[in-house]
Amino acid sequence: MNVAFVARVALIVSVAAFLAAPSIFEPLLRSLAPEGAPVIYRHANLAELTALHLGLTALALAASALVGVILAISVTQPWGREFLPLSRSLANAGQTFPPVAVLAIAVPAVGFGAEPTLIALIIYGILPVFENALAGLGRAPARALEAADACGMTRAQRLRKVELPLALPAILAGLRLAAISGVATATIGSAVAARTLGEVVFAGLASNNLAYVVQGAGLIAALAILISDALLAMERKAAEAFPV
Amino acid sequence: MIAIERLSKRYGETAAVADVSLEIAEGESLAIVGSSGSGKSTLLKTINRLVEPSAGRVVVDGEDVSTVAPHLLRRRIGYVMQGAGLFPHRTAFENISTTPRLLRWEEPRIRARVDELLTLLGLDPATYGPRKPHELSGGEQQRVGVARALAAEPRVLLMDEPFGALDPAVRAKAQVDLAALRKRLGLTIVLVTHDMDEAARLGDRIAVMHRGRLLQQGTPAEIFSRPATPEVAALVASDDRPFRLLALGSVRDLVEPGSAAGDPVAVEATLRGALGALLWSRRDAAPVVGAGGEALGIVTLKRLIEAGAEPKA
Amino acid sequence: MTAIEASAAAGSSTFDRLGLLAAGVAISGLALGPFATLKPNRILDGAPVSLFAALSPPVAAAVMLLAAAAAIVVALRTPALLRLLAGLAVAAALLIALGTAPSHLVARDDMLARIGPGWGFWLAFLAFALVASDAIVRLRLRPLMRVAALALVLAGAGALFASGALDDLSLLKEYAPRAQAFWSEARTHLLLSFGSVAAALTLGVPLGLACHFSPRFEGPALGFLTAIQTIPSIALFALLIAPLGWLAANLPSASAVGISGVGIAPAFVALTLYALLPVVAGVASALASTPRDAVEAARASGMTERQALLLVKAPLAAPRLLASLRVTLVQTIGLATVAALIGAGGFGTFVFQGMGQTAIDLVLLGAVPTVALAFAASVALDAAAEAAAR
Repeated sequence: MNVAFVARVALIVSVAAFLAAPSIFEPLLRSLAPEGAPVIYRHANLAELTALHLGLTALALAASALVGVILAISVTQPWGREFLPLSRSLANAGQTFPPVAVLAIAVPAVGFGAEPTLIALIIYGILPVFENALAGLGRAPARALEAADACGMTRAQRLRKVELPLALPAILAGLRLAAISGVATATIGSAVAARTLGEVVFAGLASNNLAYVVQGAGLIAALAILISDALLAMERKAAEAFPV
Repeated sequence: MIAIERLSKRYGETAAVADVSLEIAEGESLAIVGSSGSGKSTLLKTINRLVEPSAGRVVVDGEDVSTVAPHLLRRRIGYVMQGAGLFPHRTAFENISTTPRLLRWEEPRIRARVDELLTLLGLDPATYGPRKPHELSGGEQQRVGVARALAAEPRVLLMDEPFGALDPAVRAKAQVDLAALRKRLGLTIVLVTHDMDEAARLGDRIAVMHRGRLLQQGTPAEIFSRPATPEVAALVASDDRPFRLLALGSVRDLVEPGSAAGDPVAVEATLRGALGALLWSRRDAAPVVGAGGEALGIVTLKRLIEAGAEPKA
Repeated sequence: MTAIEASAAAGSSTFDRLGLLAAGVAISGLALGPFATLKPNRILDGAPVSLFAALSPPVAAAVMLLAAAAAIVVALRTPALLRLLAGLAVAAALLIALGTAPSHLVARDDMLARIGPGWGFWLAFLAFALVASDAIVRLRLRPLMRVAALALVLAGAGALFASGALDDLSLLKEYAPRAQAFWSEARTHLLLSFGSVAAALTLGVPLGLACHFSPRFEGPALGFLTAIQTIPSIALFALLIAPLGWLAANLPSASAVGISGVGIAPAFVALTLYALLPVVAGVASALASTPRDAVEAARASGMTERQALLLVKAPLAAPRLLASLRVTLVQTIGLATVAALIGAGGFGTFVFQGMGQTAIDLVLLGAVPTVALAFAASVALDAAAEAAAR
């Protein structure tokens, strides 16, 4: 049993314990809170906020995965190939756009709440999925593609049976990057009144209560690390199953 | 079985294949030889429509291939390429079962067919079936590639430099295996290679291509002994041309009555082998024996040397 | 399909598919969409104003004619240089025309009304900007020329803003009262982003070298930095407040050099930590990717390990290193906006103020320069990486 595994289990256990009974941790955080101020965030249920945070991220992730992969497939097909260089430079330019800006610009369009956050999450998640899917689709060896044609596969069959399986590890890598930035953007979503764990951090910053800040930020950091870990494990599994 | 009629393929201004006509009879094996850029691979790929011709047509089994949907056509024609081109994410079994699956064969039939082919190619199905391509050697990958091409019981097999990526020893074995396989399955084979020896070993006939044109077609002996153009001559010309020629003939062609001392040579041996045996043992003649060891006559050094000389015009 | 085949197939058409799409989007945007939005004040919702309503008839006609002519140029197969000029000309003309809209639409004494671009304007502007950037790709400019082109476009945009032609637009109305704050936040943003990347380079290059020479160190080091990078920025900023606050309270020398719990210090430290992973991993992988033969040849010709590193591996690794530096810098410039949340300043200040006041123009005042800065840094470092690869 190695250190990383133990650390991971410890992290999962402490997150679960904290969400189930935050008061246990009160002595630990006491010194960070100002005199007489509450230590544990009680304006909302932390477990509920965590669930909302994860739900928002997962919903957006599903949407960006769908759009990103479909886009990547489109520009690698004969009829869409002309748009490949353009979509590449668009994706590059898109990455220079900070997520906060996307979030801010979505507000006037749809108002405050979860919607602008969802939009920003989806838009920002498409980029890494698209880029990685593109790299993954290019990963299939030319000979294997020729063999697929020569065996009598139709285009759709070749895509489904050869190109997409070989691209899966790369697509998952893109999904992981999208998930990491998604957890972060969802946090900032609290600034536009989306209900996520960011709320706890913002409340702490506003009232100068470091205990709030630390419990909010700690939970978010732990979630991000665990999600990234899980996706990384899936990615490795996929790379093993579909080697090049 | 296959007729290529006045076929051309142009890429922009350059003609990769220019007005080539060829016929391949049922059960025959044709080797297309040429240097790189001669258009030989392009020509091969027009047969299963991996390449669409600019002019002319290909007829397989009485049917113009341009009237068949490409993917359906290809399910009927086996295709082996250089370096095998296996799907890296699929096991040997899954690779071989590709086309039968596309044809929706029943599962037991697929299993039986894959096991049969693996066995035929000298790979134990239980050991090699579950392996991924990266767990196989180059020669094993190549054999799986051949098995995949043969899986749907095609009558035509196209091979594009099939043994190009193999080292010489493995390559020689692969060539012998292919010859045996062909005999057993009665396949019609079109094989592309840049190696004249390989062409002579595997082709009943050889077609020589140069810069998109078909320069000459004929049996290996015809090509070696009477090259039609300087380009063909350059392809076959070398110091060991006599030995190549001798390697094509068997002792049966030169047996004459008489008796001689020393170790006998087999009647099925190549003339090249017989010459080697005589040179090594400093003899002018050797006894020839049949498969059962019965004496059939002798073969002489003089006749062997004549057989290796340039034919008189 | 081979390249020759593709060009042969493409040559048969007189239309450029990308150009056709862009021209269609631009023209329908101008004809159907609102060219401008008119807001009674900076917070209320805007009303859409069409091209011919927003501009005086001669200006509107000129814009429409120019856009139509340029649309024809880009929709057909035309030389890349012509497409570039057409794209830039229309983009500039659209901006200048928009600049005339306020005086046409709003009474001179109405100080509250705001005129900004409508989505029709945005469609046309982005479509032509896209054509221009696509033309630059097609021109296959050398790295130095690309940087020069970027400088030219930036100088042109700067001159346009300085000329006062756009002063009546809502974005610049947000800028005018904040001019001083804008430039001081700009300095902070530059300090935060470039400073932290510089710090990450100073720390990261030796760490990367250590990873390169000691695989036992590489695993844990990269693992730790990867975990750091996984933590959302706001969480990392926030988590650093406590330890840095403690330092400031307990170490007089720390607070003397300006370290405190909130403000620049935690932001700077967090951004540096984020930038460390790409730098360290970049150095290690760039060095690992140097061809084995070249390194062996260097040793065989009698170089010491140090000479081989400096004379052979470093030059060979430079392009990849610069490429990873590009990603780092772009990412850091974007992340620095979040630092405003913990009082560090930077362009993010305007973004979050704007969000709080629902004043979209104020948000853009922070977002637009951030994007421009990131884009410029990306182009410049991309060119540097390509130059190093030659």
